[in-house]
Amino acid sequence: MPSFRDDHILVVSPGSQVTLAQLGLPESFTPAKLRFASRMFPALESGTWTWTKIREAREGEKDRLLATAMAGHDDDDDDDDDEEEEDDEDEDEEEGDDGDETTGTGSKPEGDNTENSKTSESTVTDAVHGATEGAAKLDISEKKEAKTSDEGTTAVKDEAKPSDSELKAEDSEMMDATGEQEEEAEEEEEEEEEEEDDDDEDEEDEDMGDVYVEDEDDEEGAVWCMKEGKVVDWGCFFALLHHIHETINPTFHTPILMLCPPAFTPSDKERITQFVFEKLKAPGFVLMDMALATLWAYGLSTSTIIDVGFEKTDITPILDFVIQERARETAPGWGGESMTKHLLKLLPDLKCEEIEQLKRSPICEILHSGNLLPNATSVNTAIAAGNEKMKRAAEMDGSDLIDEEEGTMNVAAIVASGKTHEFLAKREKEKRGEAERKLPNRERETNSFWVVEKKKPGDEPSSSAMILDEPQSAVSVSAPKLPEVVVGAEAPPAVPATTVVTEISSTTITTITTDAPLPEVASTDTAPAASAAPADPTDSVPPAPPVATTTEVAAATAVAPVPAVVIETTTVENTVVEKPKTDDSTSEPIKPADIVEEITVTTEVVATAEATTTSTTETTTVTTAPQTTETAATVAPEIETAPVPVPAPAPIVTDEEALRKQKEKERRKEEKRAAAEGLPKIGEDEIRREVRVGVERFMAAECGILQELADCVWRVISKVEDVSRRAELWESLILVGNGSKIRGFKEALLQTIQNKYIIPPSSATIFSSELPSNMSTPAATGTSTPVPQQAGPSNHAGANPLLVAATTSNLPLPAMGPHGHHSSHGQTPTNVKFPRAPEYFPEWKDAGFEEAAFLGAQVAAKVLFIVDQGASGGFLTRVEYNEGGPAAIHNV
Amino acid sequence: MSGLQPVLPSNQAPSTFEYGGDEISAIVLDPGTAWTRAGFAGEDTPKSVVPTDYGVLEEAGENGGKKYFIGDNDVHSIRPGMEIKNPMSDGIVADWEAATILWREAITPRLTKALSEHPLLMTEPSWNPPKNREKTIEIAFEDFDVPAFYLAKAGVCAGFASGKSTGLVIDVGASNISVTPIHDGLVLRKGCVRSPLGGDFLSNQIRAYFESANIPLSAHYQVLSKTAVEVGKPAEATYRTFPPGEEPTESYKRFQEERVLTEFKECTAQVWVGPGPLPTNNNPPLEAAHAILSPGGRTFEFPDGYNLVFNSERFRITEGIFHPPSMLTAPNPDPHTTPGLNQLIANAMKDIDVELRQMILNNIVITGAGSLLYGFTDRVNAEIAAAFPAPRVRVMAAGNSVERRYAGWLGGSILASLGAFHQLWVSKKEYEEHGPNIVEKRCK
Repeated sequence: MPSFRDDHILVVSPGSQVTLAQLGLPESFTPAKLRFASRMFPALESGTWTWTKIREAREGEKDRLLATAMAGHDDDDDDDDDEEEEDDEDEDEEEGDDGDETTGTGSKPEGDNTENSKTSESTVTDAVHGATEGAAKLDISEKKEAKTSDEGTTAVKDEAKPSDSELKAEDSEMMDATGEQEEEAEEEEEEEEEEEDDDDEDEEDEDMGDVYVEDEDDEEGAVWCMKEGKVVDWGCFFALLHHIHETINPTFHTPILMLCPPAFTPSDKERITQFVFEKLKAPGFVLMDMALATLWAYGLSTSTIIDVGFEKTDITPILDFVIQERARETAPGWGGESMTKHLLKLLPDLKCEEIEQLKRSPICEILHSGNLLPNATSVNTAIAAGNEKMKRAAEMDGSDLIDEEEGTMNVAAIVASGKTHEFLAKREKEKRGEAERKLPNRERETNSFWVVEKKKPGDEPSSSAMILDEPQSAVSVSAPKLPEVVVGAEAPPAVPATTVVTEISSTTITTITTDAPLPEVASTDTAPAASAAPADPTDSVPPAPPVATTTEVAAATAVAPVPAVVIETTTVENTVVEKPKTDDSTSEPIKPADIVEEITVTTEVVATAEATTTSTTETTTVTTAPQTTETAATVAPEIETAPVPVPAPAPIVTDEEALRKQKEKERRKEEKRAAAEGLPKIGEDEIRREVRVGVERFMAAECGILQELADCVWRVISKVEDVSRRAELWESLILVGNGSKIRGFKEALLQTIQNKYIIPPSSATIFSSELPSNMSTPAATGTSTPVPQQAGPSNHAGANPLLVAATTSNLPLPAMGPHGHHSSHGQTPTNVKFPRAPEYFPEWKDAGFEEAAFLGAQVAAKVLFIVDQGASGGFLTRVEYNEGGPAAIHNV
Repeated sequence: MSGLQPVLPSNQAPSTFEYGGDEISAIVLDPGTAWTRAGFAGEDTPKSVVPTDYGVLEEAGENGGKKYFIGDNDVHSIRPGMEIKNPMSDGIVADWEAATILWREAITPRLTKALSEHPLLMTEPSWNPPKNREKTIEIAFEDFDVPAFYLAKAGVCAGFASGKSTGLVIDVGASNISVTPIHDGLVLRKGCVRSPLGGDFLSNQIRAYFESANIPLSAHYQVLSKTAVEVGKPAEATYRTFPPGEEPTESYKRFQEERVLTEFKECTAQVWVGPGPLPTNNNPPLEAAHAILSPGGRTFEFPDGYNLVFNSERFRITEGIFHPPSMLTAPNPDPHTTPGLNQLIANAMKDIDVELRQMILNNIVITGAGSLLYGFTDRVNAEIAAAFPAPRVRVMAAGNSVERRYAGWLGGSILASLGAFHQLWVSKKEYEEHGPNIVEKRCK
């Protein structure tokens, strides 16, 4: 067998929420490149699954879709590789009908016997009545999803025929695939050949009756294939695996390493093995335990892995690379989700997603139990009058009320009910508020964070980003985008006029907010814009690469009375994209279709003064309402210039309602501050708003998760039979899992364990046998002031270290009985430690080690597939599989 | 990539999965009084070990029935009104309903979801009455719907685990110490003896001692956090409070305390080296004893932080196993009629054929978690050497605590994965033909 190559290795890590995957092992291991939500949607045909939801078009949507379809459009190719990607981009989010049936065929999970006939059938049909048979595009690549921002919802398709690319879930029977292998292989090759040619052959047949729509926003009805680390729906799980495999589209010579959660039973593993060999046609496969992978990532041999997941926590003791199966435990129901639920109870005004984001935000912390909550009594005191604190709270309320109007909620505001406060005084108060903001998070009574959310369907159809604000949006389309400024204004003739000056190092973006009927909006724009960056109507200033200035044209000024547009700015690094979206309130419905058509008037404004700018071009795209189309001056694609190499795509979208220019200004500062703290990165189709929370943000763990985990760890380690090795297990606890990502979790857990379980060196044993292992031996000089080596809040109160040192130094070690030394047999833990994470992978260091199992999987993949090349039977090869069947996986 | 295939470095971890699953992958279930162990045949340790103690809430289940809480997570969580019970009594099943649920629970989540696909091998103590055995096979075929079943003697299995088909198996379990002579893989029934001086007895000894010495016993669930205190000083801990009516039950408290006692047994208790009973104050060779005892003071810290140094006490609490008159829990069991371990061994040997005696004495196997007590095997060694002063007496105890604890299971695992064993399985068809009585004929 030829040797495997670094770049042809697929690593997959399934999880209840997110499934990680990556093709190829980079020089320096990085966090997983692809993240998939672990869910699929049942497709129309039962037993098949799709990645995006396909639903019946809603009333009103249908006509539009049909119209769009009629209007003719480009075919997006279904393929996922990058070139295609860019093509797609240029074609710019058309209706995603895909008439290319060969591609679709290729993405079928397997060649079952009916498939060929089906394919040909569809070809015929297409040819004959030119309908969009099999037209629905399954948006396989998430890139694409992220990209199809305008009109993501509109894959139109005929219901009679499920999408070609729908995955047929072969749940249980993976029948005689052997015979079909070649067939399949052929098909796939075919697919590759034909990827290039895109032929358009779809038109919408208006008479077709029901219209189905791919709704990328709607998560409702999704089937999450795993729960608490167990696969609950195998059809869905396999469909997901297949989808991932399709997305990555590896070569035939790509072995697969998959991590498996501890809850997988041997028969589960066999099932997966069978699937991988028979459906995914992998040449080599290995399943690796997640805990073991974590251990590899840390480079240890003995450790206790605490993996805090979504709805469960796995605790796995490992001695010398051997998992202590009997002792390992899964605490069901205790995971990140239990904290979310608890917060939800504490903050009933927030929605689930908001809580989720609160947890991720830096203001959410778990404090040491010693720390008092900041102003814990402030809720009460705030109500009492005259207090300075109350004033401050009040001012918060003031600004919060604004937020409220904008749809955000604020707990403090509700508590203190400061609704009477005048906005006039706000600016004054703002200054004081500023002082408070400088306090560290934990000393503040309230703090705010950003919520990123999907635009509501009414606002603008949008594509879904896979995982909200995931930094790895390398996949997402926004990355390659070039700086551009698109300002939407509706008035046809008025292409406007504001130049916004920006400072170096920060790009400013203006949103212009045009709501036609309100004249003052326009005026507010211009004035501040000229003045200075902070003052200008920017929403957010991302710490952009040292890019120079972006000038930006604010369109809005003299806006004609066309009512319809609410503008939203997207900032991509130094890019501003403003997307038009339809305002619900407007009487004139703007058909999204029209927007899709992108009737854009672009003007280019070159920044005059700024010499340094390389990237100073902006395009102002004025999107006009359909009626005004004819006035459009130029329809131009985005103009881009000298793109500054963008290290990490950080699209930031701000949504603003321009009406409240005044208020905006007040918020602006805050936003800047937030920007400095690192705003959540969000996709183009998302909006961000600020939510203020009180001390509840420190209470995430008060649901008892820490206690529970501490108990569980104790229980697990006590169950390890080898008493003398328990101390080692205590001394290397590894905390991983995204549930533990919340700030301060590790420290708090450590403290909980120490408070409850640690055995301090006893003041009695210093005279006898046990030399506390964590005491330094006194120096021979006599200047022995021993320093306790135990870091952190230790409980040494009981034993006087001096006494220990003084006595033990003189005493010969007491003669032990015939049974050897006692110290290895004592109670544990005497010391609890979290080992440091490995530091040689800078990318991991940045991303955090919550997903260290993936790093370990990469290490293991490297060792097993590359270094070892199967010499020691580290993985299951196809040959072995053919001989031994699925059960052979257990021999690996 | 080069075509070279470098050898795996020696410090390389062994490959991920190490079970050498047999083709049929039978399941081995070893139900004990303290733990129920289950795993696949052919593996070297059970994959699933659940406490045999289970929690039960009356009228909380579906249709107002009982709701069972099984497994480490469930049984330890605090639930008002949850009683902790044990389906076993004297090593054999007393509560069949609970036992059935428990066994299923021990197998299903970790091992397989489809019980009906795997043959099942269970172990039983040598004193299991025929009625129980029939009930067991009934459960296996009727409730679990296994394709094949076998019931093996725990003693024989423990012998197999040590590679012996002939010998004397001393199994120190939770409820009992049993001595089982085996020969050629068969139990010599008349030599089977047991006494109730197992791990639970030891726990009671410790409790009795704590009571007599006014040592407060706390459990982990009662404590939120503790502070280090000097030896013997009262504890300064933050205790968990329960709203009235939501306190855990007495049996729960006891069960939780048991864990602390287990820790005490693991870390502090020790067996006097022997031979002969532990010297006491009234019993002269005191000075000699002191020389050994005094430096061995060991601290034990209770969950609330209270800690004490134990010296000769840690020997005294274990002494009852060997020398019942010195037990602290009298009159139950009766110190005068209950045989100590050395007496037990002597009784067993007395009933064995003279010709076999030598062979059996040469292969004495000590197993069971209780034998992990500090110094236990040495004491047994000394006692046996004193009682049978023959050159060819050999006592074996696995050094590995895992093997010692799971010897019964491990033997079953070996047995079920033997090629020759396949003909011994009682198949479902045979069961259907002959009824539960078949177990008496087939599983000797």
